[in-house]
This record gives sequence, structure tokens and C-alpha cells, in this order.
Amino acid sequence: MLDQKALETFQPVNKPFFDGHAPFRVKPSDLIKSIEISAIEAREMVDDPLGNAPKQPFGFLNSVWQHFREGLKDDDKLWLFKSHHQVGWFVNEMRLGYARVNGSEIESHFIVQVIELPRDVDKQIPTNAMRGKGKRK
Amino acid sequence: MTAQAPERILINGDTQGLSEWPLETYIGLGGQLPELNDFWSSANRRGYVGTWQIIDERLYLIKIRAFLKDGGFGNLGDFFPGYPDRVFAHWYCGALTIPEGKEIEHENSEFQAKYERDRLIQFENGVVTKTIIRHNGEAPEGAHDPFQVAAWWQP
Repeated sequence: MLDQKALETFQPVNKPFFDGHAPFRVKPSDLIKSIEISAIEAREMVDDPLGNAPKQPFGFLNSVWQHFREGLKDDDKLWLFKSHHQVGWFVNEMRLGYARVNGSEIESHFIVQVIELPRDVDKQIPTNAMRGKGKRK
Repeated sequence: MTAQAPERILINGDTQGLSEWPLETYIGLGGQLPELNDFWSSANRRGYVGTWQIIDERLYLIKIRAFLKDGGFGNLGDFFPGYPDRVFAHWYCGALTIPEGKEIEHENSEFQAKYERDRLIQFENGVVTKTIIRHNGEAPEGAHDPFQVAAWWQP
């Protein structure tokens, strides 16, 4: 089994999941729109009415976001992205998040949502792709 | 591969098995959990069993039982310090599949058994957006129900 250090050599910040296929990369065609940090943090604010999550951007995952933020340079831009990625036999995922762009280079990314796309979109709604894909730190 | 102990969900007063592992999404997005004993059982490679509940159209983790690497069992407070009673699964997007009715086909592999119906509940950031019932067919006489399957592995 690969350990976390080995995984990190394959994967960028907020690591997508090692799956035996090509490492996930955000492509220029995946970029949707440029977005400011303040706008991201406003739209990703978690506010549970029962108080069962921290009221902060990305909730329990705020520390992961802070780590991503710390890696930003002054001239970096953040872009909302949506990508499709094959993770196994007949398994495709949609991944949404924020990409760090510097000039024409996509430097790293922060994934917010991972949704498995059904084989037959007419038969069911998407299921989640994360079964067994996470890697514990 | 040995069939894996499912996560559980309290729904309509019953405990049912889940085909998905929502906490793996959390781990995959970078969330940290305590170190778990990977060798708890071949029927539980992930090292924990969580119990989930939908309250006011939101998905919550209400209980977890895990075998920690340094010995002993871990609970929700060990996984989410400061939240020992309930955790809002805001990270979860996609669907949960809850088998219903009797078993049509049995497979001793990961989540391959088929039941008469599947309740598919779709979530966006932990909030229910859609529920549909998928009908898979009729079970033979004497087939068992998903709850029996969900309950077979007790941590």
C-alpha cells in the first residue's frame, strides 16, 4: 500500500485520489471563470442550522483550504473549474474546485466536489465516487 | 474480495445499510482522521463503521465506531474534535443508495448484491436535492432483506 509521502509525489495540493490512472490535472478548457478569494470564501461558507459544523469557509475542511491559500503568490489568479476524470473501468468523475493560475500555467488546484457520473445517465442520479478512494493521512 | 461491512443509516425508524462510504469523500478531499488499525478485519478495510441520519434534509454522521491504531475504539469526538454528538457532512455531493425490499441476487463481493428497490438520495454539499426510487425486479421466495445484510458485521 502506498503511504502518504508516496501519494504526494504523484499528486498536487489537496491531493486527488491515487487510482492507478494518470494523475488528475486541471486543463485550460476546464476553467470556467476567474474568482476572488473573498467570493470563494463567501460561497463556500458552511453554516449548519444545528451547529454541527464549524461556521467557516469549507467547514471541517478549512485547514486544507488555508494550506492551499498559503501557497498562493501575489500574481496568482484563482479560477473555478469543472473537470471530467476517468478513475477506473467505466468510472468517470466530475470534479469541481478552484485552480491556481499564473500567467498561462495552471499551478495547482483545490477540489471541492467529486461526483461519480453514472454509466447510463438516464437510469440513475449520480452516485459518489469516493468509495474506497480516500487516502488516510 | 470479502464483502465489506456497510455504513448504516437511520431512516424511517429503521437502520439500513448504505452502499457508499461518505467519510471517504472527506478523507479524499484532504480531511484528516485519527490513525486507524487497517487490520481490524478483512470485512472492514476502511477501519470504521459510521451511522448516518438525514435531519431536515441534511446528512449527518451521528455515530462512528473505529479501531484506533494505538489501541481501543474511537468515537465521533476522536474523528471530529469538538463535535462528539453529530457532524454535518457538508462535504458530501452525489447520491446515497439505500437498498430496500428483498435480495434479488446475492454476490459475496463489494456491494454487488441487488435488491428489489434502491432509494437514491442525491446531495449537494450535504443537503438533499432529490430522491428517487429505482425498481430492480422481484425477489424469489425466502430471500432476505437488506437490514439482515447490513447488520451482519458488528463492530
